[in-house]
Amino acid sequence: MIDSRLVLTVLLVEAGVVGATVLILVAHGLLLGGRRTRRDMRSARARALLAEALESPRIDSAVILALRALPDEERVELLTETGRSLTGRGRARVGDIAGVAGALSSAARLAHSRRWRARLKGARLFTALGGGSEHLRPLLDDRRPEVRAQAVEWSSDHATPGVIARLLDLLVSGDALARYAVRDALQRLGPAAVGPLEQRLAAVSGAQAAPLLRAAPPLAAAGMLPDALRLGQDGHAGTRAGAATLLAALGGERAVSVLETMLGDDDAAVRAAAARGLGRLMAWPSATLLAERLGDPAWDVRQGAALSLRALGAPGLLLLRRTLEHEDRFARDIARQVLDLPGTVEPFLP
Amino acid sequence: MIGSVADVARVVLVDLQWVILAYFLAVNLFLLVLLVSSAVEMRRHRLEVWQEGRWRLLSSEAAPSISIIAPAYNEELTVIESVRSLLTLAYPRLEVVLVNDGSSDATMSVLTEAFDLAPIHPVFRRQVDSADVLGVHRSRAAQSLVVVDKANGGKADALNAGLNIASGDLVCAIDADTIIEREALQRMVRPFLTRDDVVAAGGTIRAANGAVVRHGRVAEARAPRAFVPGVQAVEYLRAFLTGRLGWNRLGGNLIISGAFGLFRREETLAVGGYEHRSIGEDMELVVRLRRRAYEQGGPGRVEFVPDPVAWTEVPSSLRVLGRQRDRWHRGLADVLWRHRDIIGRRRYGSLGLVAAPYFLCVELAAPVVEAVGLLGLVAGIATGAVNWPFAVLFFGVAYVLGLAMTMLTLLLDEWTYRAYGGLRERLVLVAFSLLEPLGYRQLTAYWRIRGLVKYLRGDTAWGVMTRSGFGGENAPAP
Repeated sequence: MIDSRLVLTVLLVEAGVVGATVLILVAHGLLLGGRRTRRDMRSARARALLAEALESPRIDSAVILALRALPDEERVELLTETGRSLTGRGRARVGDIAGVAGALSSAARLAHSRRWRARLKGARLFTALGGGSEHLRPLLDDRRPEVRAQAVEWSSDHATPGVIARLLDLLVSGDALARYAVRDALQRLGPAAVGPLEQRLAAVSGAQAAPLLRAAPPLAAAGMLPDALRLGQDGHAGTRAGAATLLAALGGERAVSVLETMLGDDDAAVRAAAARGLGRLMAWPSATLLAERLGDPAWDVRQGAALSLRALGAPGLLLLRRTLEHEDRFARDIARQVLDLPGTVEPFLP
Repeated sequence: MIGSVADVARVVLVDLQWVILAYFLAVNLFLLVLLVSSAVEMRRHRLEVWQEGRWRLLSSEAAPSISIIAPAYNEELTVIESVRSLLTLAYPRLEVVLVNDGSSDATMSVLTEAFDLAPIHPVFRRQVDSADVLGVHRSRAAQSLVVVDKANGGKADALNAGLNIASGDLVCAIDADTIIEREALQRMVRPFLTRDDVVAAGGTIRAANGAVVRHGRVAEARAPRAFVPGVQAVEYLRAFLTGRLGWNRLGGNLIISGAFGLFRREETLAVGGYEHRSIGEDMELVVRLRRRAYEQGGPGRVEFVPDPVAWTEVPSSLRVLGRQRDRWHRGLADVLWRHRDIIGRRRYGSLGLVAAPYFLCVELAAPVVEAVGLLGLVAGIATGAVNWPFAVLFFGVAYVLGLAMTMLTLLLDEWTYRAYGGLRERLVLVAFSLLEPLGYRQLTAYWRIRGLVKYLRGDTAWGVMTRSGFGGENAPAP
């Protein structure tokens, strides 16, 4: 019914696969064990010499020899781990040592490779070790999003006007991978990013402004106020909501006035951002307008308004207590929650 | 007449065995495709994360906030260690929401004492239904810890209560006794930073039974030495390293382990949270999230990230393990039945055309096919319809091929993460792999069939899962 030779062949092949796998596992395990011991000894020596070299004014040949004696992967790991742990002069020192040890020239070669994974490696090396502007700046325009994102990360330590301009381009480009990296980089750049961001905000409107407005609040500066006010009346709801958050970060009478107007916006996200913003600015004259939003159909708006009223202190609390008698049950409910009273809607124990 | 009936029976038996043999061959070939896909995906992933500046997340204001939701039911032995390990995870903007699901033991009092809990009344919106919330408490000692005390409602219900209270952009659903590695969230958040279309991500689960656990952390990873947890350690490696990772390239995952999964909170609330009435609530949520993306747009991709690791205590007795596998299979059947209208439909892309049919034809049906095959084989041999070479071939295709897949998985692990440490641990896993097809596989098939029969009879109970707690410093002897 079935040929025994076929059965034997199948079993032999399977047994061969199983046996070969077990042998490879054992062999690799033994090899790894031996390698690990040798690697640990080499790495320990190189690590100790590197630590001494960081304190010394000159670069000793012993540390260079020890680093060059390491396999490429280990040398890179040691240098990048050390580079990431330091800032300022210490990090620059690691970069100098890496340069003499040949790591930076390796990184440069990788950054110009045709293979994107090699370019990514090169970008990571320069991010950890510093330098490499002439090699990394072009990678902000790389065709691979992974490489672009890494170049963005590098740029947070290597800001030039041209680099920041490119970061802002990436922020509005729809590149998801770069977007987080750009927001993070802009925040780390701090004051250096403010001027370019102001200029970019002045030049955009509509949906394009929304990602810029999301990145702006941590960098909020007075120069952004005119555009925040303008974008608070934009046709795109996401932009208006972003403008509300930025206005809350900027503060001032004009900001409060626009935020009060935005409490009546058609879009719930805009109203909610405005309500939260007024609380953040401790705008107690706006308390009455906030109280009107306690009956808003959108939960986020009610919550934002109620928490803002609580933040305003006495005037806000007074209005919250009055709302306990409101005809709208949603308004009563949110007021009750915020005032920490047990209620019939949500069964909390006292 | 009798002779012709016997002849017909013989022919049916023989033909049936060939069909079943072909089924196992097809299944194992698909698993090989998954394995290759997994290896390719692993290589890509490791190159992408090599020397990645993950530590920058710790000081980034752009990082999304995460709420960990941990349901707890009668966890007095392990809950303190678990919560402590959660509070010390290396992630900025982290909130821990522990939901006491009406425990009848001292879980709540143990928490109150250990973490100095004080009642609070947070402003939250009840977007998904859950059993009554009796109180919400914040820890005075650890401000990021919120404890929700509620009436018993089951795991899905507890997760929903946590979803209502949680404030993070992302929510991480775990089991209360799961130990998450310190940097796991930094790794698992990666798909959400790099893509707009990811709605959920899962990480690797490993069996903690043999590990040395100190102060809520796995201090030394070791393979379990006892047979029952040991063979499960092999199963988990195969399931996560080959299965889940391989699916990243084949259309996305259908399952995220309930012990460790990360979801976009807004989308999870939009689909109504976890389904109370399903015993496969974690898989059911993932299917619903993916469906929503096809039906209404929005993020729908489910990624598996191989390097964030969570450790969990797996059942150490056959009785408890049997209940667990029974329940899992009932859950699988339930989910596939609830969402049967997506199977084979092009509208649902890879979800309907690849993932759902695979889970129906392989994951759900395999134990039945296996049982029929074995019984048929025995009957065939007894009647002389099937000869020994065929029987050996059947065993070779059904089991030894699977063993080869397992070995290749161990090799993949050897090349990458070396989950349980050194050579000795590896050999322990090899030994369990060799023993797995000799009775254990068949036992799991029986449990799964039992679960399927129970489901068809309408049994949706969870059953009792007993835990003994982590070994602490007194790990089992090798």
